[in-house]
Amino acid sequence: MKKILILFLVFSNSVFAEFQYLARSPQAQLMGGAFTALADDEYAIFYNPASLARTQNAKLSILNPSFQVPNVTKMNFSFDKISFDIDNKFSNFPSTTEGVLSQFMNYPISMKMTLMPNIKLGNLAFSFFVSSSMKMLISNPYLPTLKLNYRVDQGFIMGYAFDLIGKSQAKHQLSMGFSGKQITREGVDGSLEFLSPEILKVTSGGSLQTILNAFGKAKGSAFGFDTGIEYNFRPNKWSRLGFATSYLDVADTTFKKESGPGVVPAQESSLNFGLAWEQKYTMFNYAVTTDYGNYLDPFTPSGSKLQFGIRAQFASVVDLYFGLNGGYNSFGVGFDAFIFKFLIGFYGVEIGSSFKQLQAKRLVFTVNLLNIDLDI
Amino acid sequence: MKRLSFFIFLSLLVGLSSCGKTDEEKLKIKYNQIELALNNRDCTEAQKVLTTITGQELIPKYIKLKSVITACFGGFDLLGFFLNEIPTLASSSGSLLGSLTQFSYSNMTSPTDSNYLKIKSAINTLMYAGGVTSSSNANRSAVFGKAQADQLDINLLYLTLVQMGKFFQYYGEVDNNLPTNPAPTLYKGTALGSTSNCILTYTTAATALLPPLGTNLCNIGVTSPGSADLPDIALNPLTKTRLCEGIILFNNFIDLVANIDLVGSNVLSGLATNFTSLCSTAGITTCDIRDQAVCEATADLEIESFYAVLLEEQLP
Repeated sequence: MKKILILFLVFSNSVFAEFQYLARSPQAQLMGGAFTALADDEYAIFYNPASLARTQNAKLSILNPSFQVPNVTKMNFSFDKISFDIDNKFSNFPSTTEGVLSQFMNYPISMKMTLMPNIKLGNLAFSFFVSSSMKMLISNPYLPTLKLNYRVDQGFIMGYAFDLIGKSQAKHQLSMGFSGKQITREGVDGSLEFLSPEILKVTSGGSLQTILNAFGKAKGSAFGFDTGIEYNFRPNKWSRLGFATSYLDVADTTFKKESGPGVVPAQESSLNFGLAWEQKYTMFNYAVTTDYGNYLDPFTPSGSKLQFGIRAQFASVVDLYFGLNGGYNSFGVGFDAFIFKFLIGFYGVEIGSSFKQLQAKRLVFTVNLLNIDLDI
Repeated sequence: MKRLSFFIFLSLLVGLSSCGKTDEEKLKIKYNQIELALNNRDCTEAQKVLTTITGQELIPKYIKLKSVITACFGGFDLLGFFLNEIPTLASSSGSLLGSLTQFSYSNMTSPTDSNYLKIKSAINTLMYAGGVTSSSNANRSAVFGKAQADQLDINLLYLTLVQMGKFFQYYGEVDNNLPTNPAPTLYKGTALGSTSNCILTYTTAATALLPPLGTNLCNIGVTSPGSADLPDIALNPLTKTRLCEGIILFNNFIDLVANIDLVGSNVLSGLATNFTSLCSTAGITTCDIRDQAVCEATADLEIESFYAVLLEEQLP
């Protein structure tokens, strides 16, 4: 039983049809994921390398850990009160394996931790990244199946954007970017029947390594590259209308296996389209965005690929985020204080194979302790 | 250079936009749809999608889903089985068979009960998976490999337990005594000791095989109104068919618990050892028969002796 609990605590997220990107920006997730044409934080290079040409600045982000955990709260909103309770699934945790099976049937659980120190100088950006994520889902009462996606990634990415038409702040600007990356990945992506001999062995005295191996754990390294294009129209100095397309992990980033019994999960390619409108005034900025993300993925339902986001920034101190990701809403708040930044929020994502089939509710928070942004 | 880069990018976009789903992707989507249907407990939809999948007859995942969907129509779900039925299993091998009859699934009222027949079909899907013609863990391992065969067979084991519960509840005449008797005192065939009927009305030759009426013995030749015991095998050809269904279930069950690499199942593996020993001592030749057709081709007396010596007397 203890091992089952450990599985639930350690293995997080994933599964089913949710597409897994190499890295996602916390603020983007709170904007429904619509960030391709807005990408302007330390994760920009992971969304569209062409976005690096949008502003001529020097940006340094050294310590920026972000965390994702299952949203175990039940929120109730009314005109006079907002209340938070712990989801009964977690407040009444079952004491038997069968109870866990029953209570968490079809309940997605995920966890992720990311750290990506990076530097941007003009059109050039470089970032290290370390990311650990686990996703788990028990489904199908007729053949209870434990699905597991577990990844530990580390590596670096470097990108550059070329100005094809105009430059930063020009009325018409067209840029194109490329990035290359090296990834070392250890992970599994598979499923096992919960009442299979393998699982029974683990729950009867085997180790976690046994089950990871049963799922096909493997380690390997790979090189990959991304490309993207962005067009910006600036009717005045406060406003920007941007169109962007990015093609990430061109032709899939596949790994050369170094160890382990299974296959290293590939980083599949994604084609993303984005549109953003933003206005920046002295005390107030806002951006409205929409994306059609991950066009190539045949497993994500079409409706779930449509994303909308709003970001409102007040006096460059308080940020509010709202979003709609395939019908699931998201919201959050961020605080800026000199070189420190803090952001927290909730978002939902489709992990089923049809529109609004199965939502994973997640809590994301990030602390950015050394964040420097200077105009060049 | 800039124009060339732009052209390459646009070409990539156009090329990618024209890509369709591969067969593998289509298959994965279908499996997801089946899973979704089963999550919603919609057996009909799951069956509908399954029938659109072709060329997967040798893939264990397909075979298991086919079996599971068939069992779904028979009212069986594995999660419910583990949550509600497994806790009622007797902890000792001596009471195991009787406790199977306590499952809530064990409510058969006719030899042609639709749920019984669906489970039977689900069992056959697994037993003869991959074109196996003679059911055994070894034969399935030869086709799928030991690990994959065990994966199939553990599902077969669960279904067999359920089906044995139905079989012995119906033919063992314990139905009259449910739910007042707790599992350890329920015996198939001898629910209330000497007042209960045997599974079948034995022929004279087979009766001679039965030891004197005792603790675990049934009342030979007694039929009572409403009793489900089977008539003399020599008088009714259907008796042999029914008896063979029980033999197949039991022998496959023994083969499964003896050969699946199970952990922590001392009760079951102990039962397999006992059974093998009993068969050997009593010289019963039907212990290795795991296929209906082979069983039905076996001499009547051999079949009767299986029930008389093993099931009526030795393995309550």
